[in-house]
Amino acid sequence: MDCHGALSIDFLFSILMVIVVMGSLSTIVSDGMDMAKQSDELGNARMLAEYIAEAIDQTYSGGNGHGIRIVTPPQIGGKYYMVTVNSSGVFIKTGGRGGQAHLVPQKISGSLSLNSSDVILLPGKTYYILNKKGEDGYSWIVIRPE
Amino acid sequence: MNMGSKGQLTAEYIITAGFIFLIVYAMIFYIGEANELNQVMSAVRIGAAEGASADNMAIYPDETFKDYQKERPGLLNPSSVKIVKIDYKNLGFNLTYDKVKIQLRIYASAPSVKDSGYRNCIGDRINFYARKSIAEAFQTQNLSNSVFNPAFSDRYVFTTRDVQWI
Repeated sequence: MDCHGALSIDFLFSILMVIVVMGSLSTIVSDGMDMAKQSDELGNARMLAEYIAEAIDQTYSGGNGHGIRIVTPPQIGGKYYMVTVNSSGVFIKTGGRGGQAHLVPQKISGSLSLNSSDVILLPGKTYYILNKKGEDGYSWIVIRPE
Repeated sequence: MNMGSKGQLTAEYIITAGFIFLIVYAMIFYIGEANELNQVMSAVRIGAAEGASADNMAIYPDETFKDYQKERPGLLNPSSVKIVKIDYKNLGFNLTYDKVKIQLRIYASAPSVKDSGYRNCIGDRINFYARKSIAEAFQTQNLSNSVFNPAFSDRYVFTTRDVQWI
């Protein structure tokens, strides 16, 4: 009986320690996972903005007639997002946050009629980026959905 | 004879159990304090890393982003910010808050950011996320102001010093 009693106290004390350690660990692990998820979202948003900016710059440097097709992902970290492109850069918005990727200064249009405007890129679509020379002799970047 | 042996054994058992109870009670107090501080420091590390991550990716909350477009365009470029270490100083019991006051200091490195104004912005964000992380870990958001200064845990109240750049 004495041996059994001593064993039970050891056991209960061990369980107490395990609960204390598990309790503190679970909070740390949960917070860490949230942080990792958020960093993943921010990273993906940044990469998408840079990917689009790079495609536009490549199209621009490729000269008249050069084109690149890009596909936007359906979401970022399970959230909706929106990308706006204008001559100042590529702007991305998702989950109440925003970022910008810079572009080589150039004229941006959403149609072949070459009107300077903001072009909005939506999730899960394919876009064709085209370098087209305008009547003014300048190269325009035309971004159109396919 | 048998009854006497049994009685003696029970007394030993009660005394031993009493000592164990006292030791466990004392340990639980210290374990609780140390455990809470441990949780806080983990929360601070996670929060500071989150703040640094926002700067590394240059993806900010909408209002901050608009503000930076006008005032600090240099912060719209990704910058390499690393959290080097986190230190704390016990400032003793604070009668205003009825808790022990602790001042946190985060040491960070951002070799690509030279401008002191930009560094202040980055440092403030790191401190903000560190305090926010404490408030969220202990569910004390309602006790604090919008910038979580000071941040509260069950036994402690936390403030942050300016980030030390190294």
